[in-house]
Amino acid sequence: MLNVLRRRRGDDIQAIAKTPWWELHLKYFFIAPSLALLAVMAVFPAIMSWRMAFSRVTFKLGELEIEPIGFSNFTKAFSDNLIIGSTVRTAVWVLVVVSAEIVVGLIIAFLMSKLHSRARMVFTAALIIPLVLPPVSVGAGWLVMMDVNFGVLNYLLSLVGIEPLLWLADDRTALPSIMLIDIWQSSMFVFILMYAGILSLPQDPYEAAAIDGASPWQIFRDVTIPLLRPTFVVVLLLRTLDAARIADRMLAMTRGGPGSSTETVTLSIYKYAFIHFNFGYASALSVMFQVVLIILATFYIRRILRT
Amino acid sequence: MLPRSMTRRQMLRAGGGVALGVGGAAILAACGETQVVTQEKIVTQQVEKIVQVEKEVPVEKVVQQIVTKEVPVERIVTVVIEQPIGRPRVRLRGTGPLGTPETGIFDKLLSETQIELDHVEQPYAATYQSLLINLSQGGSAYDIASMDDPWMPQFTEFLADITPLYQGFGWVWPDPDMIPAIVDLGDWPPGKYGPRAVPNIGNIQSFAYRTDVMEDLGVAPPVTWDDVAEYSAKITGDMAPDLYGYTIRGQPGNPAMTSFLPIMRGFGRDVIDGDLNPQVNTEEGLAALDMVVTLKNLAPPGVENIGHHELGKLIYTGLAAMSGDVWPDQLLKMYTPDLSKVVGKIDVLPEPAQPGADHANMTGVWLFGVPQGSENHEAAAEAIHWLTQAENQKENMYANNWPPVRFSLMDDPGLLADFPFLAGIKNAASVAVPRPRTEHYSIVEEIVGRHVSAVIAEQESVGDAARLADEEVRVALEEKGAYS
Repeated sequence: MLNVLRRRRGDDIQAIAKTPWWELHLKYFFIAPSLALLAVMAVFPAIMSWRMAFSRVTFKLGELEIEPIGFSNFTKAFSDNLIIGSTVRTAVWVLVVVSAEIVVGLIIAFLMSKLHSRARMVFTAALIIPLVLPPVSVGAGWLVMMDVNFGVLNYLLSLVGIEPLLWLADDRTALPSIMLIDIWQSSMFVFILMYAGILSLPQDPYEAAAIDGASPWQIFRDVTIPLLRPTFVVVLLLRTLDAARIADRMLAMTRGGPGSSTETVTLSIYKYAFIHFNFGYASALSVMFQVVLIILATFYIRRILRT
Repeated sequence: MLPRSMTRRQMLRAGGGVALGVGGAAILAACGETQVVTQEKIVTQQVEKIVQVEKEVPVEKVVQQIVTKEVPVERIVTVVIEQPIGRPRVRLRGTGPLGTPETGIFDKLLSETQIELDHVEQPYAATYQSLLINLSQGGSAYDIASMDDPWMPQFTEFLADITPLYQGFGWVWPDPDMIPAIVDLGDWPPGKYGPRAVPNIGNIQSFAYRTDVMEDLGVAPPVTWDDVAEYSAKITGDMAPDLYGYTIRGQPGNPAMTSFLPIMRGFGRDVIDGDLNPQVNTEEGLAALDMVVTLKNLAPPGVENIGHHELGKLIYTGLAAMSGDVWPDQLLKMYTPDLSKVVGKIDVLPEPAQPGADHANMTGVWLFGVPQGSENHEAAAEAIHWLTQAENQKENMYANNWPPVRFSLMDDPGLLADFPFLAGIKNAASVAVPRPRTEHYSIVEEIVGRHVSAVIAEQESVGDAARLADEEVRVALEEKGAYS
């Protein structure tokens, strides 16, 4: 037996030795174009970003002067009140928006699953509309509707005898107003994933629960929610990463104001990069932000793999 | 005997061999000489035989008639196409406000100069960012850059010198018909690089007020900021919510700063001094911020989050009576009957100033420059010269409400009849000053503008905002090496 194995291994080695080099490494030729594209589009900018994070970057005619300065850009962030405020605001934003979107998306998905198939088609088409609109256009539209003096929302409130709201003009209501818009738009994304999840659930546990005399609420709580757990984790991962990167909506609607009451981390990074032209500091902030998001993503992905 | 099964490698080899064979045969067939091998083969086939019979038939005699007519010729016209012989069409690319294609200005440029101008339209902030990156890196993406005047201190070193380019064509520069104070905006630091840009749009910020409201109050137009506050208090007190005394922009950054700067200057101090030391936390700065709070409290609700368009709307819909942050495009709307409730009731003045301080309207001039990295310096200079001619600036006034930068047009009776506010803009231009001239102005604007916005939103007290603004400006400019 041992001799047979030795002979076979020897044959394999001989076969490999006879194989031309290009055939042995053929796989690398096939993946080389994709790797080259990835290097140009993702790896090179990431390396540059990390390099700039440890440097002072100055624009000179025809070149970028990059002078290493160690961890200065990173330590500065911990004493920058604008960044501290933006970080807290972004965390609150992610927590509120993602939670609300999951609740709203799940409720809509559950209700839709109970509808007749034709009604489902009509409502699904209608509900997807906000999802296909670009965030900046949505921001511009809502900005007009939330105008304190000329907006339709305050007009509607006046019809029922409610005093006009300041919406985006008050630092206490500006962030919640933008949250409302985001929940309105992004809940539909959650709805689609949840809806697909609900439709693909096995029917056996439901039949068993019905035979055991479980109420609809008990079925929802003890059957639907646990079975949807993998979908929940995927939705949490995608929505958390997306919500954390929010900037375009604020830029279109408030420029981070009033004051800095709607300024998020990515908006601050944008301002440091393209208004202050402090690319070193902006890169350091981006790197720190990336690390936080990678940790979050790793946590979620592990949960997905475990479930 | 064929093996029953093949390994993957054998399959790959066999497949490769077949592909190579077929491909090689095809290539050989295409490239090599054709070797024809003939083989005799007897083919038996029935064919139909067609017999053609030629026969003579009688035809009629054909007569060709030629008729000659005399046509009277009135004149002979020789058309000469004025086109430089052998001159190829040049294609340029520009960004920023260059003109409006709908008016046919680019077609006219092409027909007269053989220069085809591609206009890359971008929003304000995107224009600035793309220009800074392209110009500083010596890129050739743009041949013509249309730039706002506060950008000039950052951009001049990356632009080509206009004087030799103009002299190459035999044109005089600076153009004596252009307002010198506006022309000088393209030369920064003065005399270091020489003129690097040609002004095209003479935007001037001005103080606009409702003449009918002032008449009702029985007062002369305001001269000081105290007058503005006093009249605003009367207007808002008597007429709100139908009419408010003043309006201001509260969005952070450029909007709040643009509304604040004429007030601060009207108190006799700029946001930074000549050595770039921040000046908000000074007696004048604090008084100016107090004035902002006073005026904000007399403004329509919601000014904490308004920008340029919303401010104009508050005036042309008749909701606000005064503002020191009015620009020519907004004035045009105020004079448009379809939009405005205040047509003929708006006049324009220099910005108010406290006793002893100078009136200081802000310039918002747009200038053309040729990036050093451009590969078409001469053609770009020629296009700029053509675009800034009086005739084209006049067309731009009608099409886009871009105020001209030429004396001859500021006094043009036709323009003055069609745009009555032009006289006011001319007066404002006489006292206009640019924003602080430093390459770091965008940083100062972002920081001070954010804190002014916080004061307007009552997020920060006047004292805190002034202190924080000065501290942050100093730190940011130190990092940029502005004090070394």
